[in-house]
Amino acid sequence: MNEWIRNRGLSALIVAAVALGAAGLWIRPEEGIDAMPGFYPLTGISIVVAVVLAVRVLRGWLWRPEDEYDAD
Amino acid sequence: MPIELLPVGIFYVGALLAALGRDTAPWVAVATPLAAAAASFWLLAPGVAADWSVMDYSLAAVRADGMSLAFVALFHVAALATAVYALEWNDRLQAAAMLGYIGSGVGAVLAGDLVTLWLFWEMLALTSVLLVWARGTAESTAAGIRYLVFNVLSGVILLAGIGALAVAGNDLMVGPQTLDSPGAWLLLIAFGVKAGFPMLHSWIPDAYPKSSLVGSVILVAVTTKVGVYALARTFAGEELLLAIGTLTALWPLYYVLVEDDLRRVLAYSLMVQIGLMIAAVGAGNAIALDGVTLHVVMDVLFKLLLFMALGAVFVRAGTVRASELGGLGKSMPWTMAFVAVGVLANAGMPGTGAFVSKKLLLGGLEHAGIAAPWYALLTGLSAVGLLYVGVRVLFEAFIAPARKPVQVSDASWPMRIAMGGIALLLLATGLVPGLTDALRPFGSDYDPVKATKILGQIQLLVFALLAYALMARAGLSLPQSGRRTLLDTEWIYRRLIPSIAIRVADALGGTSRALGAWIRLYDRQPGSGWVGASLGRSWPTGSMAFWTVTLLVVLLFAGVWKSQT
Repeated sequence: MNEWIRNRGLSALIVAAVALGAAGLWIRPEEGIDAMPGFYPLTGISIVVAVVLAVRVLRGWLWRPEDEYDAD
Repeated sequence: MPIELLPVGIFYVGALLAALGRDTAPWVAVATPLAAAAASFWLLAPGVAADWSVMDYSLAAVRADGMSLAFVALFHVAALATAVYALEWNDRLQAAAMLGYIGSGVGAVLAGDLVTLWLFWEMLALTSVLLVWARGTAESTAAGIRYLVFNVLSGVILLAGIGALAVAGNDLMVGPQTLDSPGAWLLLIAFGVKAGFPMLHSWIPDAYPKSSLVGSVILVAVTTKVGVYALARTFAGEELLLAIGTLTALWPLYYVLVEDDLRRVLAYSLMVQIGLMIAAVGAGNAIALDGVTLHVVMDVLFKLLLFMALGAVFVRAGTVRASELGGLGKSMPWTMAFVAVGVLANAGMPGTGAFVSKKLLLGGLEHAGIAAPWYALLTGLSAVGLLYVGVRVLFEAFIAPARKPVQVSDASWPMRIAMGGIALLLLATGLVPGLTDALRPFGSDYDPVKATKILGQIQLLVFALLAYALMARAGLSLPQSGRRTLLDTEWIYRRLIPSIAIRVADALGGTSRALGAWIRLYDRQPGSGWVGASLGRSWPTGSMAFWTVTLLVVLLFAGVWKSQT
């Protein structure tokens, strides 16, 4: 499974994203916040990019040795 | 005790029997929730009320309605599943504590007044800490003490709030409050500790991963959920909770993506879901409160499933650290399949009951009129959920290449039955139309199962995964996990406050020693006075008593003198 994910996973995701994105042009709510075209794809991409980048920037700031609290 | 509290009594009697039985504890643990469920089915229905008298006070012991009964049913299911999961271990303490804990949870959500709620609130703390201590390690003992401090403190604050409300002449029924009095604020803080508000949450990731196997499973079902229940009962529509809920959901994101201990990852992820629920309580409309009720049920189910799976991994592989796992999918295919269901539910994937509950929560927030970016942020948490459970737990433990050779067998049959039952519930509630209607006690007519919502949620998850896959290919993946301590607010009371206290004590000690040395030096000088001679030596206890009595007599005379003038 790991090999399949490595070799085909990204391609499968791109195909799925294109198909879903195209479907979303026609099938979307008529009213409400999520009626905006591309609301869900943009939300998914932006939050993942923001969170992963934030975690990479913040890593190490809150890291301490494993025995930090061992004296308790 | 009113007969309507019989289900609670059955759990307590079951706890007693499990504690006393030699080899019967696992079966008592299975039979008790079944018996309690039969009693609940017989005695409880929306509108049932019962009072009891305690020391000349009449208390509303039971006020059942759709919301409280949904929680009661959930706690029974959680107890039964956990008891089946633990069937192969004959551990009397864990079985007894689990039953007492569930009984206290049932009592708390049925409580009609704040005093009854407080009684079961404290029972929850006392019974649940046994589940932490049951692991029997020095680490779990210390974590249990910290857990107990927070939870008992929550009870003390709740009691203070009840007292303040009573003194101000307020009604003490469990019902809507407004934040216009100290008593109401104290209630909010007490409920916030239990629900895991940011800064008050550190007992959750501290104690849950360090507790016993049964404890780490069942603890996710009751304590924080009773906190959410109490908030929904008393502060629904309180706008402050919108902000607190959002912060609660955002706070743990760093930890869920970096933490090495996967049970700690799940403990933090609990906060993400609770944050969504708290925000929906802040929205306060019928859609949101239906969403809170249903999402509590779904959250407990998929968290039980994931904690059970990690428990099975711990039993078989001896660790739940991401940095030491990998490749378990081949040897534990059943467990991996159950984790996959948990991952889908955690991400709110259509086809699971959690999709319905998350869309209800978000629908309630949308109806409350929150701004579009805020709505998008809370919607996007599902995508992050896919990362922290999908990538961290499913991929790193089961799919990624093994870090070291693994020769383990799959989970035992009782474990598989328990996990399989929960997985079926999660899928059935998502696939069978109308199955979740009974868990929507506020009667909203919002229909979240629409083609547009289903497509939107799948888009969200697929695009999020694609974004992460592209980032990983570009070398921007999540940091490698490893053995380390991640600082959280617990650092304040485990490091900062003790270090300040030690410095203050050192400073006082230094001052005292310097003063003592000066007095002794003075005492040794020829012709030194009686003060130096007296203060420079250590005093016997009798001398202390003498001076205390002397001071009291002086104070007495001073008081008499003042009263006469």
